[in-house]
Amino acid sequence: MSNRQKKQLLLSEVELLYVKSKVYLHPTTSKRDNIVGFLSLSRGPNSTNKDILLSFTPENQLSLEEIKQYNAVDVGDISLDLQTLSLGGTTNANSKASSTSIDRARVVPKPHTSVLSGYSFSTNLSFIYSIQVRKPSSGFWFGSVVINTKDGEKLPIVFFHDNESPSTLKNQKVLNQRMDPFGEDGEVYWGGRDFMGALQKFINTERSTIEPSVYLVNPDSTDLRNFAPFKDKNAPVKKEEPFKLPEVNKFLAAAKWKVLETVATFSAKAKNQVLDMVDEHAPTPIKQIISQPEVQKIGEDFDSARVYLAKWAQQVKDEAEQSQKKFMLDDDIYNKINKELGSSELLTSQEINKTSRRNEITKVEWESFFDYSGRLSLTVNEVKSRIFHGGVSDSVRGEVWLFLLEVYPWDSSAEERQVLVESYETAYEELKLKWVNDEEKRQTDYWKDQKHRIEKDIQRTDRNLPIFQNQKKRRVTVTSMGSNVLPTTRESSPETPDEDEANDDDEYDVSNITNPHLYKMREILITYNEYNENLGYVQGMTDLLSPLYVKFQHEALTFWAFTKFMDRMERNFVRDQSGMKKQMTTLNKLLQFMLPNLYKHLEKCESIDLFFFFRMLLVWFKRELEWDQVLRLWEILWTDYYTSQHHLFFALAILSDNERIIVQNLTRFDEVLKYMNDLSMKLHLNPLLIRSELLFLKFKRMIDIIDRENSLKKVDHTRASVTNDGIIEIGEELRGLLRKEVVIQKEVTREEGMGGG
Amino acid sequence: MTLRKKTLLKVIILGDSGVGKTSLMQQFVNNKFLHQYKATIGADFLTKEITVDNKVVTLQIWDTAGQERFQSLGVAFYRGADCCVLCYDVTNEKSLNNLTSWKDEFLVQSNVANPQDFPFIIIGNKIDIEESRKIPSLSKKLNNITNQGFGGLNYPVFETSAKDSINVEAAFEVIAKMALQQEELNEVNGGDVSDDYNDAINIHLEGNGSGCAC
Repeated sequence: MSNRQKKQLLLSEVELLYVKSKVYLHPTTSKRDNIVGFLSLSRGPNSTNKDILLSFTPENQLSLEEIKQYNAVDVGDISLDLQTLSLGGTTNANSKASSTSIDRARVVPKPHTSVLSGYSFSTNLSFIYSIQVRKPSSGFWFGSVVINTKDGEKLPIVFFHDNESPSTLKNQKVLNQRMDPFGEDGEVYWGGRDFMGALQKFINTERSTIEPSVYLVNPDSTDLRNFAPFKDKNAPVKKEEPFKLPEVNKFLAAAKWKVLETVATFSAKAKNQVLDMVDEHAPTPIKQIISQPEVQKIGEDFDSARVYLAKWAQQVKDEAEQSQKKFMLDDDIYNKINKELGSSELLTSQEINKTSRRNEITKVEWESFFDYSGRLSLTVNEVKSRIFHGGVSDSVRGEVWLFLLEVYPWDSSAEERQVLVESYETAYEELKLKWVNDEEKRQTDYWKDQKHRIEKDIQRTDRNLPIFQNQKKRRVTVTSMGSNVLPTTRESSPETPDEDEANDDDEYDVSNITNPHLYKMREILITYNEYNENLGYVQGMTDLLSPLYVKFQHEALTFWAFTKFMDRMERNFVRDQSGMKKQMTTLNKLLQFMLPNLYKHLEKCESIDLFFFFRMLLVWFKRELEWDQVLRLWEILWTDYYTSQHHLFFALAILSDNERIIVQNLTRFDEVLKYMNDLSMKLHLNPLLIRSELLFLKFKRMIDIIDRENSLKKVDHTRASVTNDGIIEIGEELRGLLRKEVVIQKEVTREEGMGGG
Repeated sequence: MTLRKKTLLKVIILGDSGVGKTSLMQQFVNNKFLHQYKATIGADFLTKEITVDNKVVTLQIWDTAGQERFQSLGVAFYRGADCCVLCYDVTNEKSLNNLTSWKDEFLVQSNVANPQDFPFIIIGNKIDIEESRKIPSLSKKLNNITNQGFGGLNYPVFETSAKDSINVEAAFEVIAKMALQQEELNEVNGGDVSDDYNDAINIHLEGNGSGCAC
């Protein structure tokens, strides 16, 4: 059906040049009051480009027929022209602008020209001074444009509900299919962009160099001087926003909102609908994620689509952060997190600057910390601050760790340390010989049980590391810091396996340990089991030992470093689990204090016992992070720089980082647990470190403020002799989080005959 | 409720450390066996949809840490269990002897409505290991444990190999059937007690955070 014919327009008619459907006015904060309508560009009879009308027309002011027409124009000719997407493309004004033919299907009654009547507005382009284009961002879910007229009036803000607009969706889809969801400038596609692209075909716009989101419409030279000074003066153009690519975040985030926003309320039966929706709206990269069999499996496996979607959201977030990693400075990540935490009012910029991550300490830098005698020439606090914010490089890690774990005193000289190492070796050997020579002890049930536990767990600890893999060839030379001092332990221990007997069956016989490094770990743990006889070996300790062993590869030093580490970790392993319970209670309080909304949600999910943190806290995130990241995190935690309980702030950071996904998608205990468990190996250390530091600083500031308020109130109260109304009590659990002293909780005496379970 | 919900059956696997709980679950759900599972810390679950008596049900299988002291925090996920699997290792006599304590521990912590006839099942794992390593006179010892009259573990027994995938499927079929019966029983009894998937009305006491339940 071709309506194209040459015919004059009536004075009361306009030809629609461009329409964007599903744009909204938000007159109040309530969604119910939103007004849906069309944003259009139209031309009346005998008019120039400057006379083109820019109008907002609510749907309810149009007849059904007119709505049809508007919609038809909206989706009619969106054979997507990538060039129209590139902003600033004023030169290639397309034929429509100068067309003399009139398409009757595009002719509608002229929109009300009054600036504002019944929420509609209409103004000609020459009357517009500037347009501010606000992309969809985390603060505002919908992108919008703010139009300022020449007499200084601000028209109602127009919001683009991209997820409802057929043309925007269609364009997005086309772009996604082309695997190119961005314009040439790397900016994400959305409805407002479309609109600006269309507008720029008809009229000249200049981006303000002062405020890049503002476009001056048909500016004269004064405007340009004021708002685009660089351009006008021919001065070198300052490059704006050098990091264009991270816009992918907003793009991915926008896509996520579209689906998740709608889906959060879906029940389990809607899984298929959800998949359809994902199919329809998700950009290509997300579809690729979703088409992965394991992801699909999750969807199929689980009765509820929510966990599936939560995971999907997490992957989207992850992708976004990955891309950020490459293109953004740490400070930018920091700023983002800080904004999200809403702590800008609570923290000074000085504090904020202190928190950014620094480079790791190199061997050269580390050595520069010491004087000629090998004595530290910095304060311990300075060194710790440096380690806390940067970590140490792997080449010097072993030595730094010995200081951090206080195997080496901070004030020792190189010579003193050398002597110390020898005495550590002697002391260890003595300890070890005690059980080696005690035939009777090794016959007791307890000892056998414990040995079995140790061997069984050693066999399944970090076996993916090359050092712990079984060699096909026997008799591997063990090179380690101490191999000449403590030649081989094999002769000294009666449990030494006969290597010739080793066969493929060793997987069944846990006591048959053929890897020399695993064997040394076994010796260390059996010795520790005797050394700390009340506690003994408990499951999880192999996870704590293995990084130390791998770094030192020296049996005696590893043993002593492990005992120091265990001093602070002992409370995690005590028989009645009181140490773990206490930490989880503290974390619970901290969560209430810092993230009350999330806490309320977890309460609804029956998840406030925070059981999902059990594994994370027990072995300090060893199962949640990649190997290198574990090493980094631990050295940071060992500094006790702000608090000896920084691991709880790290845990809080994980929750905070996932707050929105949890609140939007998860509603049950098992869903929350599954989601949190499956974060394992998907966490990114640096952003979490920054977040945890900020959370700590914010926490400290909040306590300070409360204390100050309380002391003021107390003064009032003593005067008026009233009760302590309005005094905010900070419990001991929370206040304890400000202390740097390591919390020590020892196991109670082990009764004779009590097992090690 | 007019809208019939899909049946979700909650199964808890218990037993000494290293008997193969994780392996059994992985073999059943994902049909795979790795030589190097890590020792389980905390708890996790996997789900699998199967058909029992022409009814599609979702098994939610909970894998737990084997060292006894870690059970004290397990209350949270024992709740609403429909069946409990007690595992031992056919080469480890101690793990067999501990079955009774695992059962008792479960009943104390889960607070099930019908401890007398709550469905348990026993799995002896690792039958792929050569005969000489197995517990001497295993069947006699097993008999002693299961047939002690009242209080004995008079439950179905399966011998499996998670490694070679022997009997795993069959065991879980029985588990699912028992769990389904238990679930239906709960429903008849208006079993809100052990079914936390009902839309229970939550009563929130103002200003009284229920605190940590651990």
